[in-house]
Amino acid sequence: MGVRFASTCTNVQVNAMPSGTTQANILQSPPIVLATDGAQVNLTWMLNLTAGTLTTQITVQLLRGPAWATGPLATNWYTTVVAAKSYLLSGSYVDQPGGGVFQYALVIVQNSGSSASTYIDGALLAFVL
Amino acid sequence: MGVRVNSFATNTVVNPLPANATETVIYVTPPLITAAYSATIFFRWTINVTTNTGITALSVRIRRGITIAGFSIGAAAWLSSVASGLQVEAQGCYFDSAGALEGPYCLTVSQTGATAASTLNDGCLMAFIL
Repeated sequence: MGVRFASTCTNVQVNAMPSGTTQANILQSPPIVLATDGAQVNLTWMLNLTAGTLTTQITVQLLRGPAWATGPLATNWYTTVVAAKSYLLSGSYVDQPGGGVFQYALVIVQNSGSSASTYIDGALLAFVL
Repeated sequence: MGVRVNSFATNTVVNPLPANATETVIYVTPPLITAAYSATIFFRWTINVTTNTGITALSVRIRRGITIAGFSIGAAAWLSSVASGLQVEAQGCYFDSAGALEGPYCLTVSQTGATAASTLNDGCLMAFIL
């Protein structure tokens, strides 16, 4: 008998890449159901982009839930970039949300005055440990 | 009774990087047999490269099968701008649901603009079935 761990994944871009300091959900997972209230969720993500004009910084955030009001899981993750160069950003994190059904979102923000970067590809995966 | 997720990992390089921009298979998994056709296979990879003359970017793909003719699971090749004469690390994650098409996967690398072979110092490709 096979055993599978609950997981969700997405590579669908849900919003256009933002310019300036606008926050935008780029990837958004489907809801994931935890096996137990104490379960941990492993979050792994990748974002491939070409930095827009006047872009010097890309900030990545993970949200529990689709809306910014739910708050980021961690502090901002900054990457210094150069306009017109391509970057492959990737990371992992862990959340322990308690009981319920949760979605997760990957958000990006750029520096003031920047033009939107070009989204090449991305992935957000959540699985229950 | 403990339960383990079916998984595979390799750091065995199957081909050296060439002195050109030809897409080259670097790592290969054995056939990955899923518990159900709807199962998702999660991939995590990393490569550490010393770049050589002419290179302007590393282009990485994961393909179904063991050749560059296989279906690329990403929406596009994953690009990382680099310059020559540097040590760089590229890493990423992705997923695939191959359905009934169970089989091996490979990680490929292209060196955009290269006129001399970069050196693949180390790396790995991990896959596990969720």
